Amino acid sequence: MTAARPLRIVLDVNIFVTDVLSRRLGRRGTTSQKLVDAMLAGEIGGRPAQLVISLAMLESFRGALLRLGAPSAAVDAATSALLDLTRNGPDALDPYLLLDPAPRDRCPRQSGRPSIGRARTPSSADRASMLLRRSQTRM
Amino acid sequence: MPKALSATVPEPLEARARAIARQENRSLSNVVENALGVFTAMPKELRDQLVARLAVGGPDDAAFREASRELMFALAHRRFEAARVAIVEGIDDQTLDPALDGWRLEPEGDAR
Repeated sequence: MTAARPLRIVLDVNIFVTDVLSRRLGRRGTTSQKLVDAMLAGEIGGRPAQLVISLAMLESFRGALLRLGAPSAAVDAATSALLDLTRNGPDALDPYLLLDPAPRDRCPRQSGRPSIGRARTPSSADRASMLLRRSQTRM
Repeated sequence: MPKALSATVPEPLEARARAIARQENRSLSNVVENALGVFTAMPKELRDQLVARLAVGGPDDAAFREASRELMFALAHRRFEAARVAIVEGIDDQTLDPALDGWRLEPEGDAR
């Protein structure tokens, strides 16, 4: 029996930021929190999950947190940890290789509307099994 | 006060330690000190398993590399959680008002 192929998942940067904001507001068990925690566990629904993230997304995450007044040392530590989570996930992806400035809609979508925003989407979204955005979650 | 240690090791291990020192711009003594520090901090059961695994396949053994990857992932997980706690505690509440409802990095038009 072969192991299940990892699900490659892109979380919109807003989900990471919303996860932090919701914790600041004292909320528990929100969708954003569950999604981020699942990526930290490296597993979704019993299946291995690989975070897909680009350097541009990490920079957006960093900038958003700094604008919220978060301590820069902690922001840098969180960004560096996300980089390492990506590199050491089940598929060992390297964010340095996820380059493609052109905004394209290449990810599988479930509705008629495009589901990829500009710039923050890892350019190799076609490497991903799933793209989740803030508009699809609740804080 | 630092103490000097002397050990006899197989040549490939000596070469690997020297290569790491060169690549990471550290002294051989520093590499050995770190290696000893990490090894002696591990529980005996973990040390025994890692030594046994190395004896079977060497440092390039697939199972050894996979275990290393999983350990790196677990450490990154903990680092992210610790950083997130510091971020949550450090957020300036005055910046939160516009963030409470439908917070976004910037308006997102259609992708095309």
